[in-house]
Formats: sequence, C-alpha cells, structure tokens
Amino acid sequence: MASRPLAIGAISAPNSLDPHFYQSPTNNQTLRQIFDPLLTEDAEGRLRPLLAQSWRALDELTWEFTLRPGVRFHDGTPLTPDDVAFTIERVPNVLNSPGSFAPYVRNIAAVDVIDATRFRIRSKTPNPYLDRDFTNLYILSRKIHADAATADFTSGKLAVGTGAFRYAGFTVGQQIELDRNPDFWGTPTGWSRIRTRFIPDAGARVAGLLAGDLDLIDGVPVQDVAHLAADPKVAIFSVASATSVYLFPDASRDQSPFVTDRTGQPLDRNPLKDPRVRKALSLAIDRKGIVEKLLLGQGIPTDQFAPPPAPDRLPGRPAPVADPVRAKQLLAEAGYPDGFGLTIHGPSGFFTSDVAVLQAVAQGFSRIGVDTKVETLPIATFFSRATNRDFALFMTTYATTNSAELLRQVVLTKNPDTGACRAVQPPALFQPEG
Amino acid sequence: MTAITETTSQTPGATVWRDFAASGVALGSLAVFALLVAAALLAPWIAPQNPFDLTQLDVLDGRLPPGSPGGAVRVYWLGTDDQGRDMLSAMLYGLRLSLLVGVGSALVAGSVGTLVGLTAAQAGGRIDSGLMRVADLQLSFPSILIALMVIAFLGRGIANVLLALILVEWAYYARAARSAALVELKSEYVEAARCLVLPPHRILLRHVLPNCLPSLVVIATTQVARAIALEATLSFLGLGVSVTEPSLGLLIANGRSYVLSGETWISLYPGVALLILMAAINLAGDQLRDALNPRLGP
Repeated sequence: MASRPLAIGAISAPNSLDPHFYQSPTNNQTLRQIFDPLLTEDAEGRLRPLLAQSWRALDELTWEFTLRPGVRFHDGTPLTPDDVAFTIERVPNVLNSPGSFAPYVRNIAAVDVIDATRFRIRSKTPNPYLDRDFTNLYILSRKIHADAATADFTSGKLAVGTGAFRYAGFTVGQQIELDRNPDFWGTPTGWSRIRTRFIPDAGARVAGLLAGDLDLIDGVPVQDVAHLAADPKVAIFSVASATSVYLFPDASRDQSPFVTDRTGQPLDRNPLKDPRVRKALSLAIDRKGIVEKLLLGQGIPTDQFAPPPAPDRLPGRPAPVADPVRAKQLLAEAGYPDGFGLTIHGPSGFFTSDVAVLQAVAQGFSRIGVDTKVETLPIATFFSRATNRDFALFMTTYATTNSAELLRQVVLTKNPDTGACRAVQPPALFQPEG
Repeated sequence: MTAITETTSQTPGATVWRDFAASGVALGSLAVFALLVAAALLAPWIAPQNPFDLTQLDVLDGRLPPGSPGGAVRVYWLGTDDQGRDMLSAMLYGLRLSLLVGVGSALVAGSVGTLVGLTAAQAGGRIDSGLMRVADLQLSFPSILIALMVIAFLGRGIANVLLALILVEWAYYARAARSAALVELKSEYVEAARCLVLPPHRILLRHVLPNCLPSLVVIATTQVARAIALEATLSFLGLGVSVTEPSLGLLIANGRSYVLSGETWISLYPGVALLILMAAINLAGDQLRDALNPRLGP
C-alpha cells in the first residue's frame, strides 16, 4: 500500500513561517516541526535539553550553554554558537510583528562565544527565568538567514531549520506540508510526509476525522468527546493544559466604562475597585457547573492561578464553591445591596465554548443582583480593545507552566501613567484540558 | 351583466382581496404569518420563561432534550440550549426580534427610499442622476457586505442591525418609486393637477404616491423576508444581536456545534420556525404581487 501523508486538521492557522514574527501558541507549535529552540518543556513543565545539551547559571548575570554537537540545518549548514547570537540580534528587528519575541531578549547584554559548542549569555539584570525564555525562541543560522525577511520564510525559500521536518509547501490559512528530515539530529519520526489543514470550524474537523479524510485533529469540541470516545476507530488524548481562563476586572481606575447603577446611570465610584465586590463576583460563579455542563468535564475548576502542569503549584487547595448568599452579603457590605449594572466582554472563537462560558458567568452575576450584559467580539478587535482598557471586566486566557510568568504578565500590571506595578486579583475560572 | 356591475362597483381593495383569496396557498400562508405575528406579540404572556432574563436561566438545566421536566419551567417542550434557555420561549422571543427587525427596517427603509425616489423623479436632471447613482453604487455591493461593514464599524446590537438593514434596503424602494413615479408624472391626471397650480409636493404625495403604492407594497413583502434572512445571517455569523438576547439566527448558530453530538433540537426548531416564517411571507407576497398586477386581472 502506498503510504499517504499523515493528515492533520488543526483549529487555527499560523500567519507566517517566520519563527520570530508572531509569539503565539499557533505559530510556535506549527514552526516547532521545522525549527528547534535551545530548550523545551515537558508535559510537567520541567525544562529539557534540545539544541542545548546542557546549561547552567555561572552567576547572577551569566549563563553558560553547551550546544548539542553535530546539529545541521536542512541545507547542511552546521549549527554554531554564533547562530544563537544572530537569533538574539534578529528578534527585535523583525518588522510589523503583531506579538514580538523581543521581551525574551531585551535583557540580554551580550553573547560570548567560547568554542565550537559553548557560549555564555550575559544579562543586564538578574533573570532567574532566562533559561525558560529560550524555550520559545527558535534558532536561525547567520549564514542562511542573515538578510531573511519574513516573506522569505512564508514563501518557503528560507524556511530552513534544524527540526525533524522540512518545508514542502504552505498556503496561508489553508495548509502546510512537511517532509521528514532524514538528517535530523534526534530520533527520526515515523511519518515521511505530513499534511496539516487548517479548519477553524469544529464540526468540519470532527466530520473529516469520522470520514477518514483526517487522521488527527486538535480542538476536539467538548460535546463530541463522548461519541468519539465510543467509536472504536477513534482514540482521544487529553492532558491538563497550561491554560487558565480568567476574568480581568478594571480594579484600578476610579471610573470604569460599562459599570452603571441598575438603571444605567453612571456611578460616582468604580465598584470593581472594592475587593469585596470582586470577591462577591468570584463567589457568584458556579465553576463546577460550568465545567460539568458547558465543558462536559473537559476542564478543571481553578483553585489557583498556577495550572496543573506548573511545577511550583500549591497542592491540595480546594476550588472555590459558588455561594450566592455570601456574595450578596459582600455586595451589601460594599454598599451595593441592590447590585449594579455591568457589561462584561469576551472573545468569540478563541477557546472551546468561550461564548457559552461568558454567558454562564453573566448568569451567576445576575443572580446576586449584578444586572449583567454580555458582549463578545472577534479576536482581532477584542484584544486590541482589552489592551486599550476599553472594558470593565473581560475574560481571557493565559498559558504558561511558569507561575512566575503569570505573576509577571497578568497579576502585576504596570500603570502606564505612573510606571508603578500594582497587583490585581483576577478571579480565575477553570483550566481547560487541551 | 350583473357580474360586471358587481366588479365595477367594488372598491380597489376588495378587488385585490378577491384576487388574493383566490389562492388557497396564499390564504394559508397569510394565516400562518398572522399566527406567528400573534405568537411573537404575545410572547411575554404565553412563553413559559423570559429567556432574556439571565436570573431565570440555569446553566445546570443546559442541553435537556425536548419534553424534559424542568425547575421553574414545568416542562421543556422543545428542550433547552446550552445556557439552559427553554427553546420554546427562546424561539417566541427570537421571533419577536426577527419580525421587529424585518418589519421595522422595511417601514423605515420604505419611507426613506420612496421619498428619495419621488424626489428624484420630480426633480430630474442632476439631482435625479446624483441620487440614482448613489442607489446604483449601493445596489452593486452585496447586501451582506454592506451590513457586515456597518456592524464592524458600529458594533453589534439590535439598533445597529436595524440601521444596517435600512442602509441595505432603501435603494430598492428608491429605484422602484422613481420608475413608478416617472410613469405617473406623464399621465393626464397629473397634467390636470398641474393646471390647477397645485404645489409639487402635493401632486407627488396626494396624487402620484398612491398610484405607486402597489409596486412598493410588493417590494416591501420581499424586503421584509430578505431583512429577516439577513438578520439571521448576521446573527449566525456572530455579528447580529446580543448573545444573551438571541434571535432565531443566533439560536441556530448556537445549536450548530451540537448537531454532530446528537443534540439536534437546539438548531432544528429555530431553523424550522425561520423556514416557516420566510415561506409564509414569500408565498403571501407572491400572490399579492399577482393580485396587484392589472395585466393578470380579469
């Protein structure tokens, strides 16, 4: 039997094949087949060697890495420490990046090449997570990619890496084809050719799998898990993901948009500033009900911001239980015995059942007297408006196995006016399985 | 002889009604449409639940099959959606939105479009060509594209959907009103009115407009159905009404992801309701067009 390519149906499509163009899970996971980073994380969030076979911190500012010997790019060019230096130089110079990798390299002062495999990275200020910052940064070659523009990668001309697969064809938003790299430095894969098609519609992915057009799909809709699991031809794999879904309240400003009294008139102060109100809103959410009924058990009610794969997670904490009576008391104590009016925002088509989850949150809020409206927006407009602080309270996700990263990015937020960092406590909802 | 006398003594309205009622299908469609309008108007009193009131919904009652016993609602006759909305109530309220959008946009767009068409016909020259080029430009774009642009610019919500539909529809009325008025303006009774030195707006509104109405009414019936379909499309794409106040189109979209897993009722019943509504309006409108067409009459 002639072997046909492995056919994969993926929920979202990468917007470029330049590994330094867009820091997003979709781009990173697709390009991971062609390119390699220095280090990687395993399913438990522990660091594992990849292009670097060993690494250690020499002092607060200096890290020494040793490259795996004998690694070659797809065209035969050998990997050298200077390529790491080139990668760090290139990252901030990628034009028009919608999500830059620059934060990972901004703190790096210099790369000192010691010999053919060893090099030292000196940082400007101590960074205990410097090694973890190298798990998403794919290494390019100075010889091959010195003048490479983003378009040269997407056209396939310079989509040349050290990874297990070679570029064989890419149509933006449609599909990517990859051939096995016979000279791969690691264990070669069993697939000689992979064809990944990007199918955002969940029903179409499931139908393609059942019809045999696709061998593997991601983003399995929760409502289809039961009947797919019962199908002897289908196997389902799930793992607790590193993604936390959380609500972000506007807890710092005195006036917030989309918060009113129950008749729609503006309030003289922002109720979300009061921790009792935020606690009440958190207690109004039936996390267990959401996970059981909307996610059909494909999720875990959050007990803390660190997701299950995070190594520094606190074990044995109980998940918050919905308590509308206590929530109403807290609202009354905060001076809102009759509640208030609130419009909450969220993305649509960003994660499984996102619109349904936001409505269930609104149900909980309404039940304690907070008259809640729901607005969902396409991803493109949602995130720019959220960053612009257009919302009073919005739902989003953060994925990392490093709790400190979450604290850095979400809980500690910088005030653009004063430059000061302040902690907010967003009530986390659940961690979906992915 | 008697038959002829009867016909001539009848008012135009009665003639139209007789021609309309000649078709059983049309009468049936009209009855179905009247029933749906009545159900939509009476929704707050006959629906077991207010599906727009979040405090009445319970996500724990989500995705129950038709006929399941419920808490606040005694029996979910048509099942519930993923938020625990009683589908029967949600459809009645959704029908209200669909009809409001369809009829509301037809009324406003019809008035605006007719006024523009009459003005163009009366004024002629540059004003006429200017107004009609705007209408042509608009008609050359697909309706859904214009509606999507308006919603993308203004955001979702029932008022913006209405505005989008009015912007899409007015040009159809304007073109029809202009061509009908151009014919009428050349007829003898208008000449007579001009000889009496009646002001132009009086000639247009009191003499020309009533004679243009039949063709405009026919356009209105097709436009109401089109507007309802367009609103359903917008909502289905996630750009129409608010997610907590779903119309029929949004209900269908919500249920779509559950079709493969066997929970077909979430999409099926709103879909059937939309189908019946559209078919009723179109069939009745068809017959009305024939009844108003003097060439087909006796």
